[in-house]
Amino acid sequence: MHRNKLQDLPDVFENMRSLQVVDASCNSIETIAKSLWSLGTSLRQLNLERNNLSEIPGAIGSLRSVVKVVGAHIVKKNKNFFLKK
Amino acid sequence: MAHNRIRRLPVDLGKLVALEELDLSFNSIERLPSDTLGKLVSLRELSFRGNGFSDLPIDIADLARLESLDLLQVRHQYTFFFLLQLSCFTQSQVKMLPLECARLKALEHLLVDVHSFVRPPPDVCRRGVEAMLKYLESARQANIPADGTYSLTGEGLSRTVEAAQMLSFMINATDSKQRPLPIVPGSLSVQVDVIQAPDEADETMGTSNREKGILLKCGVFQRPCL
Repeated sequence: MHRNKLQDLPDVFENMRSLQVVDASCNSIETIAKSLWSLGTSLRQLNLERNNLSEIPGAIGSLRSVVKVVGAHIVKKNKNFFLKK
Repeated sequence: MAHNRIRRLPVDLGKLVALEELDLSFNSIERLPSDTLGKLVSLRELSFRGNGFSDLPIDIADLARLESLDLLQVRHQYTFFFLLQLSCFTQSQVKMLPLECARLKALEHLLVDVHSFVRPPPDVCRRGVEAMLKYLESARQANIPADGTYSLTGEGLSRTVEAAQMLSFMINATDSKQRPLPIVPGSLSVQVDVIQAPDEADETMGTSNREKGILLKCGVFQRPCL
């Protein structure tokens, strides 16, 4: 769903219990579909960079298996600018 | 979730115990919740670049696996009439690391605005992450009070003197007439003066074999603009 004009994340995740990656970056999403929180045991990577989200719902706590909530500014990509040990 | 308009973080974020990378850069976070980030026990990389908060919660020091922390502020650039270009940083920015951050032993990469940082001061920041953590550890162990005068002996004495030596490069915040600058909350640093103990202290301690007491005079001052 990367780079579209979505204003809402569609509520389609209820039956996708094996989905591991959701990339809905570069849209205009203002609210996150409730069914996304049902992916608690499968989802490993969530990318909602560059949207219009004004809050993170508390329900994000149900994504127990998520490893990466990523964006473009994760440190490794900017490695050269960092103070190193 | 970079580049959104997020203003606050939910407490339930702390339930993401498997989370290793979290990018919240370029949002509008004004304040970080306490007792939340410290629960992200698997976190290795964390970016808060370009947000509006100025304080880090103490529990960030519980992130034992944290390898990278990005606290850089965004530089806004304005161009007027295609000629004049102005750059400025966001007003609120993190200028101090909590002393407890000395426990972040896995930290390898740290991005801060060196020039405006207060704790550790810029010259320590320029020496790299290891120097910054060592500085915080010394200040933490010394348990330097915010204000006042106190004396120590024995093991506590040596630790405190070491910390005082590390802090000695801090700017003596006085004006041209040697008057202390007015204290402005939020832009404070600790100045430590090591003073030889007065004769009375020797008498109190008794035997001559004992280490000499040293009075440390600590004050909180505003750092002058450079």
